[in-house]
Amino acid sequence: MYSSIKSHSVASTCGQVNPTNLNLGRLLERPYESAYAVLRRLLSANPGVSFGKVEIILRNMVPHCASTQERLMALPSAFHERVYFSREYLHDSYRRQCSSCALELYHSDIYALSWMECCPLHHCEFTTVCPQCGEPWPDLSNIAKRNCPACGPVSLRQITDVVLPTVRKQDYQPIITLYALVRQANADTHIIIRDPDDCDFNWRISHQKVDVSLKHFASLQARRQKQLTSAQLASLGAYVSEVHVRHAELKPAIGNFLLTDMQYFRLPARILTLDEMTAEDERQRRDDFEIMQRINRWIARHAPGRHVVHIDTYRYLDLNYFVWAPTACPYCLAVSVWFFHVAIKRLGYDIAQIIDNYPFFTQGGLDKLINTCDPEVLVDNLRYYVDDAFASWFYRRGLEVMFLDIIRFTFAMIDSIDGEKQAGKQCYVEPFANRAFDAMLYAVEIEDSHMNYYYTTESPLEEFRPPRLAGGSSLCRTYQLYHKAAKHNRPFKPVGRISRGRFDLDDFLTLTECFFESIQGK
Amino acid sequence: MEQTNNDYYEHPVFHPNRLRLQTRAMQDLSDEIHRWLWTGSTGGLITGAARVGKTTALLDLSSKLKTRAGVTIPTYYVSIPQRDQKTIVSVFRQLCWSAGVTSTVQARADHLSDSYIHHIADHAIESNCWYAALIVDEMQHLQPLQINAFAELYDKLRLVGISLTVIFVGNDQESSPLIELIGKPNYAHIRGRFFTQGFEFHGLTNKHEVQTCLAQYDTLHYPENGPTYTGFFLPEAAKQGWELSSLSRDVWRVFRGYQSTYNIGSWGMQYFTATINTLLSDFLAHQGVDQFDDDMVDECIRVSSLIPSLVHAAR
Repeated sequence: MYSSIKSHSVASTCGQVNPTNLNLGRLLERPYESAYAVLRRLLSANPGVSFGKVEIILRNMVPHCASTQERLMALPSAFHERVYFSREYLHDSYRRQCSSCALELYHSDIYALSWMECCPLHHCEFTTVCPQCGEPWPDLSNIAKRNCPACGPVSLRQITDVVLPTVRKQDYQPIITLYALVRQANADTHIIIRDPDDCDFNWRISHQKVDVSLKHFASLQARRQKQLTSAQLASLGAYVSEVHVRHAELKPAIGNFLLTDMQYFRLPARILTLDEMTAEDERQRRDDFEIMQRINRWIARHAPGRHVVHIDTYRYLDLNYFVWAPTACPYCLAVSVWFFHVAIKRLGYDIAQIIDNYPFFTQGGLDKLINTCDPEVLVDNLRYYVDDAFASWFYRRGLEVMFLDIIRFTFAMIDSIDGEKQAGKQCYVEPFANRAFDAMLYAVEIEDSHMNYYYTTESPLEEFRPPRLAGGSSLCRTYQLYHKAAKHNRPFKPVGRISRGRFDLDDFLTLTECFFESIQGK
Repeated sequence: MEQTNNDYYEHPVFHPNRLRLQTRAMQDLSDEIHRWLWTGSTGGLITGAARVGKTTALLDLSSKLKTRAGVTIPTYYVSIPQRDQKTIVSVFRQLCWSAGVTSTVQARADHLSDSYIHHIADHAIESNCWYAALIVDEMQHLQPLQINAFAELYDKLRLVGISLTVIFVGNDQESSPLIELIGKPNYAHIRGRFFTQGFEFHGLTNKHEVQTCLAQYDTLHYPENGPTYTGFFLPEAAKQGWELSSLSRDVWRVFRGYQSTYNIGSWGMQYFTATINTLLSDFLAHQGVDQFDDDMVDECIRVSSLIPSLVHAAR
């Protein structure tokens, strides 16, 4: 493929004119250069030759490639090794550069990744603007037009006086190490990310290609590969976060699936007691309680004044209700919605779908609530369950994350409503995305019948800092008093209150019974 | 396999550019150039009579230049054409053109110079050899000022870590004015750099060298797995063990006659190969080896144009 490019025998240079020969500037070749860096040294090695002409020659030299970037990366090099990056990074990676590297005619695609906080070679911050001329870094088609030593082609004089002496002393091992980190991830077939919005009811962990752009990517890979410490990762300029891992044993799920599905079509006459439940259901109920306890303690620490949580049904309310009524307490609203969502699962899928259909949710732009359950693991289209310890941990974590998404939504919604109230308009709230899950990296690797589950935040709820409420401690009380005295057509029934400092399992079960009675209209 | 007419006339004997005979002079030239390269010489001058075989020898040698460690040295060749305007930019342009380096019509001298430097640097990295040799043929067409272009190349390549040796090649008589001019004090920097080493390239100078060349007709094969050159044209004679090199004494004796008469220094390879190729493919092939005599050689030398060209020079 490259025989037409150049030959260093005299026979090829004597008497043969090949106007498609292009100097490659290999004096300045470095490991893992981006297409941008390759083009910059190409233009420097062929002074006076325009970018358009270079493109034409490249098309002849490397005809099997579809784009200029691909052709540049396909040119012969002592260092080239393709590492997967999406087209998005290949196209835009030039926007983020190290100014010291730019003076040395160096740039790497890895600089564009969000988890790279500073240059691994010079430890200076990346910039989007050339510090020498003040212009944004040029794209491929504009490099040749620049007359700047940091962002345009450079003369041989500058190469020999400035660039080469630096290049020869520079150690590119940090770049090589970072690419090794990325390359191993791309070769791994078991890295898995779960998108809960894909599934209505069950969380399923299945195969998906790892996204190298994730903020916690470097920390996750370092943890998995056990090759780099956090200090080493930081010295490479990567964002460092704490990554935790839990282990689980996988058990084949054959035969259980049909039974599991069937239960959602049952219509029980009443909520079952703990003694009447299956072991799995009992465990989940206890997990529900434990997380609710945790939520209450968290609210006690963050809600203003001596806040008492009220569990009410907001089932029939639309968004305008919140506009015309006093501002709802986001804590009570969030806990109520969360509690209903958790409790309703005991009554089956169909009923849950009905109860969960809050008008103001849809109007507020929240499409659906995240569900939590024991996870299923899909490996090569075979289903597996996890051991009870992991299942319980995963279920409880899902409850916590679900609450986070709900309370973030309630704060956002109330904030929007307050603004609309002041303007006296009909309420419109921007669509809200469930992002608490996305903010916590979940990655899984499976080997034989064991699973390692990696995550970054040990306690998602504890790390959330709710915004300050306008209205302070009186807000909740004002709202509760208003509804006690208000008359309206739709039923609005409080289900219960949670006393400060005391909430045990019996309280939880009582609350659940009240909820059941509430939806039955008792 | 039956030989077609086309195959027959594809023989190197009918294509002098493809015929490569190794001579003592070529070996001496190789030794000399290697000495220049291995002692760090920046350049040298090779002269010789017209048509003596300098260019052919250098082209053949260029792919065989090696460092002391046995690494092949990238070698570049440029032939300087005769031009009305002799400028430095024209030298760089010719260099880039000969190497196939992309350039534009409006390119300045420094652009062309830098492009050529990068061309050499790329090859140095690909071959992992930080030496380079540049053969500048027809150097008599240069002006002294233009030789500064090669000094510039040398200096720039030194900055990137490459040692360049420039080998100038020219005809004896035509190069003399330029060499005399370079001998003046104001060109001391050029003379000191490129013209302190010299080598005079000769053609065949004795019977032994003629015999060495004729013996190659008895050993080279065409096609590769086919008969020798001698056997190709004289299959019956070759089968009986006859060799072309057996004629070396007679061939040299006839040439000696012309050499004395016309004061010829050495037998230029162009004329020698023309003589022998005609002798082998036309006379001996049709008349047979038994009919060989001095008249045959005479006629072949006449056909080779040795006499018309040298009589003109002798005047």
